[in-house]
Amino acid sequence: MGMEKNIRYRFIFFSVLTLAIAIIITWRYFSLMVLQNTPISHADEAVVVERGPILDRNGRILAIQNQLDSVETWIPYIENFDETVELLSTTLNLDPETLMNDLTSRRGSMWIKRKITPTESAALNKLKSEGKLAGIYLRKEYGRNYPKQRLASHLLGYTGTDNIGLDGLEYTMNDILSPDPALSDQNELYGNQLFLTIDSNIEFFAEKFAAEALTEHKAESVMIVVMDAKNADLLACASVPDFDPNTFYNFSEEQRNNRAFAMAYEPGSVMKVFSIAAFIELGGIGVNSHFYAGGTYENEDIPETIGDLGIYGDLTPAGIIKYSSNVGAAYASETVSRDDFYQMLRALGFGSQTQMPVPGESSGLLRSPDEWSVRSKPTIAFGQEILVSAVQMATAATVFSNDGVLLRPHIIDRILSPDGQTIENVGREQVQRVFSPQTARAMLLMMETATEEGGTAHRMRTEGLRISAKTGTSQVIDPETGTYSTENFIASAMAIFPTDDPQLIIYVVIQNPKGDSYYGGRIASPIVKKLIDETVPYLGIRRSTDKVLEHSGKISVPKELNLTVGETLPDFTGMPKRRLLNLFNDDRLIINFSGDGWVVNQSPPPGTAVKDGLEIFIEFK
Amino acid sequence: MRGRFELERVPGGQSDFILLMLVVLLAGCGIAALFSASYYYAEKYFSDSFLFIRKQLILGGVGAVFGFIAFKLSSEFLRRWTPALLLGSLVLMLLTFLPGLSEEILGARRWIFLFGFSFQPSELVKLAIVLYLANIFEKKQDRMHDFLNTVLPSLIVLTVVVGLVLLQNDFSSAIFILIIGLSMFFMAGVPLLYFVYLLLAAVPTSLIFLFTKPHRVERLIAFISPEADPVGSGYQVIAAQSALKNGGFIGQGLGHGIKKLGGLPEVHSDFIFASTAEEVGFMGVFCIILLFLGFGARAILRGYRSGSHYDFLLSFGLAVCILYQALFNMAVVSGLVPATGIPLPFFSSGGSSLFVTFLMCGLLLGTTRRQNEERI
Repeated sequence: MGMEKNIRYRFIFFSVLTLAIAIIITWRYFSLMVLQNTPISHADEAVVVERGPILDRNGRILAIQNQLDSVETWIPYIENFDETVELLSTTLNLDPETLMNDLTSRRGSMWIKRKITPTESAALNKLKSEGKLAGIYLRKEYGRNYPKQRLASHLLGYTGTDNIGLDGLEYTMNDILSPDPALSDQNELYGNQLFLTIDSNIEFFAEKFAAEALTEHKAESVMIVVMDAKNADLLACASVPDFDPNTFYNFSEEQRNNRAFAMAYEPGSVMKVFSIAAFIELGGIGVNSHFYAGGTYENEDIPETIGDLGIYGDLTPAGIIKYSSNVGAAYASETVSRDDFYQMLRALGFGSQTQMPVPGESSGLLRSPDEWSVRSKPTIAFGQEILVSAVQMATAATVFSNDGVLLRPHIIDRILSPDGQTIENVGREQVQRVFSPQTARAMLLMMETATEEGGTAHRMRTEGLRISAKTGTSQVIDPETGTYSTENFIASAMAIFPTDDPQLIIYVVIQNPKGDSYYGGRIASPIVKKLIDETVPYLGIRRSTDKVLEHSGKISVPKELNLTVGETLPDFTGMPKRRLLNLFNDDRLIINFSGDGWVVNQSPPPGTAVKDGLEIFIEFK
Repeated sequence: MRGRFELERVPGGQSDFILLMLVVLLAGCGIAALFSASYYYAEKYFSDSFLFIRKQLILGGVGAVFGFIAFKLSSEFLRRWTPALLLGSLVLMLLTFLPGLSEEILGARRWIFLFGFSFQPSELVKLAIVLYLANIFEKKQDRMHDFLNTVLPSLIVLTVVVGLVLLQNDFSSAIFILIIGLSMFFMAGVPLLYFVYLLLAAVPTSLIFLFTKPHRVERLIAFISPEADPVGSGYQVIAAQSALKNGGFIGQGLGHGIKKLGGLPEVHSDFIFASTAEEVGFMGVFCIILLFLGFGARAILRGYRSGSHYDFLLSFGLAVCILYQALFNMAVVSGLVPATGIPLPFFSSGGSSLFVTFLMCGLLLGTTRRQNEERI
């Protein structure tokens, strides 16, 4: 009986132990599930975020989301490792050894290759349909596609594997294009649509001409900026060398460099339009002032002379612009103080970024007057000792097309929500008044003289179009010697047109041309001219030679007379089919039509007497 | 009078109604939970939402037939064939080491593949060892203090079985079988002093086994700090806990859990309870725990009151097998003990587990049938 009792105690002990374990487990579940209850937020789950598209001003797609397959595996379900590795490595161009290593050393699930091409997807799907590749699966992932390839590549930038913008607008506008899943409880999120001010057609030509110039003049780079003169919309911004954002990783740092924004250089003589206008505005000179450009600028304080290419003699400000006289500009600079000149340049935006949302923009270099040497003021007046970017120059030119008011440049035209609601609409924005309307107007007229016969920009003359222009050729400081290089130049040209009511600003910069010529007037002007020839008809800018059709505005369409047949058959030749339809109403006639269009043949011939039951054959063509 | 009344209420040849109902309830819950947990995975990877559920129903059906046969067996028959069953299951275990019949899955050789189905002999071994221990301890119940004659032979058999399971790289099953065996030793009345000796011998041995295979250490580390390796072994633990925390008191609703949608790997298998808990909430979890406890309590109590020492030991062993496996699995899923490959009876997908569970239930109900017969 001792045994029985013993077992009874053990039974009770065991029951209590089991109950205790059950209570601990129950408490554990209660604690996890009720006390620590944390509903899974959708951020933890695979939220699908579709990045919004980037479009040009007319809605043409520049960047869009597409779905690509990624290859994943659940290793336990792989049936034949050798075959799987062989098929995958040949189809996806992977190293078989690494793959085999990964598959055998890991357990569970892993990515094999992400974002494969549609061709690769098709090949894998075919293999899978043949019953091969057990344990290998395709999963859709979003990827970025740039259908126009290199077009506007520097502005757009590119995205990385996880669809995060890495450069360009993809980078700066990442939050707009790709909503943060953490801020939403939605499972599928869609990014906003970004419309740029860029016009793909103009961008296309700008890039085409830039690329042509790069080869023709053996240049290091070519930049072209086309800006709407009335609202400072950036219509085109080309920098070559460029790259294809679809495969950005195959391109060098040089090719990915957005030079129109990032490169700072000495603008040379194009700068004179701003300095001469500044001197006029400051009252130092008038439009009728005279300067003697005798080949060299004489100033006892300055040991090194400033020279011109020729002796231009007595020059008005207009003459300084027309012949691009450094000497004239240097003499003109004597009429104003350093500080006033500096303030004017600052007001034009030099030395600061344009604040367009493009990464890596240079602010150029404009030293403060107390760092200036005696030589600085005259030198800056003709565009040396100051560093600018191409977009800065084009932006500053908006003062001339807006009666002296500087505009804020834009690259983004509007932002629409995924369902098409306007989120932001960027319009014309004034920064500040820099010049009086008279000064601005006067400068446009002076610049127009440059496109006259004998002017430096005569190569961009266009029949029936008044063009204000300025060209420049500046030496480049050799970084090794610290002095101006004799081989490297910046050739540039700027055009604002039509002079009487400016619509467009075109600015072309060629860096280090090594071809036949390095003068802006010779090699940059023709590019401006090509762009003028493409953009003027495209944008509908009026030329005086355009034929204007005089028209009352009313159009009268003669009423179609219903033909009736009298005693004899008329000549139907040349009549449209619809005019003959009424013949079917004539009970006497049996009508046969063949063909479409207008009557070319009829039988019987005209003049045949009409009688009951007359059968007529009419052929149209 | 009282005896006559009972005779009417429980006619001879019938099983315990309450126990049968508990089995049916658990099986029903298990099938529903498995379907909810597996349809997405099955659809995604096999384009067949019903894949797991179909396999489960087929093997469950076969298991139920075998269970019914087991239910009808007499204890004499059972005891006569127990040594054969034990030997047979040990042979099956050895067969898993033959390359033609078995395959290594996830680094372990535990399955035998026959006729398109895989079978895990270690499941059957559990049943065999319970039958064997019940048999031997009943025979020698008067000599429980005789170490050489009673304790040592059964201990050797238990060690061989556990050793074989260990050789299959199935550490947790081995530990589990050891616990079942020792609890039967305990309930059969083996003197407590022997347990102390055993413990002294077992601790160093198991430490050696633990550290000879890297995945065991990994799992242990993952248990102690799951965040240390969030994409590896710790992943299931973290994912399971996040599913539990998502469940709340009333749950997301059957079929509405989200963790099974890829967040919890192999969810239909050992971690199915995480997905089930996410869907039925703490309320449901509490009910399921009560069902298992009720099942275990009913089975053991019926055995305890049967008057037959064999039936008591047998029903105790079988009930502990199922109840403790359930508790073990729940503890693993909630992160109380390290991740192991112990399935949840009635719930986890896996034919051999369900088959053996039904077989065990058949035997359990069989003991109640014999008790009812004796009362006639």
